[in-house]
Amino acid sequence: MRKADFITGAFLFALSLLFYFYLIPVHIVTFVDESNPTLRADFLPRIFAFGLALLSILLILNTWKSEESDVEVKETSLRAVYQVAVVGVAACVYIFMQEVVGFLVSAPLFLGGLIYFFGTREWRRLLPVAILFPVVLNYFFWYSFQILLPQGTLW
Amino acid sequence: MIPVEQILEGIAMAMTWKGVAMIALGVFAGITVGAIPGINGVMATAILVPFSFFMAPVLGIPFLLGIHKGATFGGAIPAILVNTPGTASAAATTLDGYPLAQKGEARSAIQMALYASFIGDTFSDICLVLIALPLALIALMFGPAEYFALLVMGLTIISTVTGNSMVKGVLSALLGVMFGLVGLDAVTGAERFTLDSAFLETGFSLVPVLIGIFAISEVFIQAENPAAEMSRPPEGAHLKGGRSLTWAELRASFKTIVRSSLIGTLVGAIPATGASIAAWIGYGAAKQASPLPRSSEQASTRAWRRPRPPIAPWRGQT
Repeated sequence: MRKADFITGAFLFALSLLFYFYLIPVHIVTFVDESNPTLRADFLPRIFAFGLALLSILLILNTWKSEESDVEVKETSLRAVYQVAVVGVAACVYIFMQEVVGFLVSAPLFLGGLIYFFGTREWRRLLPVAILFPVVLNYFFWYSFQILLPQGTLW
Repeated sequence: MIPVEQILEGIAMAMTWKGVAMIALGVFAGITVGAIPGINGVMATAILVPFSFFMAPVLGIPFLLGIHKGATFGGAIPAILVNTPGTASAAATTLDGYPLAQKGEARSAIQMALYASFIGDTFSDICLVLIALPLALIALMFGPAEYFALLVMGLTIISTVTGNSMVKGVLSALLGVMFGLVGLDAVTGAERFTLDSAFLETGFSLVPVLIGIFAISEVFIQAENPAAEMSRPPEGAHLKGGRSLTWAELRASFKTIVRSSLIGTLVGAIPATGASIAAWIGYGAAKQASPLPRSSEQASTRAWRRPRPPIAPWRGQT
């Protein structure tokens, strides 16, 4: 746990530096109110970025001061990273595809693909969930709430 | 002076078989829509309001009220079953509800959420009828200093829900605040972290962020499991095998439900606050009062003494 805390602290410290020296000066448009020059749009972000840096240093120091031995943390396996990456990429492709081919085409592909990827090989379970669920959802939203799910720009 | 006659007249108008049927229909529709992550009570009411156009007012209003009440409870269902809150106010429910579902006690957890929601909601309704006017007068006295004090009080709740490390809790809160800063500055109107994108000008909506945080963390947790294990239906995430909540468990939680009801009613009465803040304050108070271990891994039905506080019917109406 100490190692995990150290990495978290270091990451957050880097993030606070990124906020303080890049994001706040570049991505906040500030107007100076002459009656109250402190009250600027970057005032609170600077305070919080400073707090973030301070607390992340505290977290790093705590990991050094802590005398308890490193708690055994289950190492993240390559398989887990692979599975998360596949879900992430599939979700991005799904969102992109939804804009192009619509919900009715992209959702069955996304659902079916992921269910198959995660080990279900029974077609009697896979197909109804992958095809029927999006179709029922699409028509449920339309006939019940008059909400049209994305139809796609291709058709 | 309480207009007793008008109250009784209203009850008589609603308590016809048609009125009760419309309330039941509204509650059913509300639970169904509210259980969809991202759709809260207000959105559910907005979605289903066209159905009330064809009804007489004495039937349409109970129908809409039923939708709102049903959706408020419905948000707890995905929070307990899949660790993804249906509404922002149900976020605290995931902390104890999902561990209970994993232990095969999803049924009793949902029942507890239902009973607590019902008791608290009814309590706040009675308060609305009896003391709405004096409460509204107090709420209108709230100025910037009082709002600031309330927000600081909300942030102090972090100390009760952080677990072992206060530093990590405050760091998480700071990160949350930084995300909350995205958009237009409320005072000067200046753009903050919008990256010249019009979508970011309104900032991040709370519900999608909550769904993302809870759902993605669940993806990470599940990714550790082998694919074969994931393709099996989860043991606790279905209602079939769960046991029902006992009267003794409900009775044991009564004190917490009353405390949370009071918190929900008072916080909900303040303009611009609402269910989410009330839920976390109620959760923090319940956790402080609970004699049980703080680890969510040791959650039991007894630990489920932290129902979401009810939401005052006038919440969010500024």
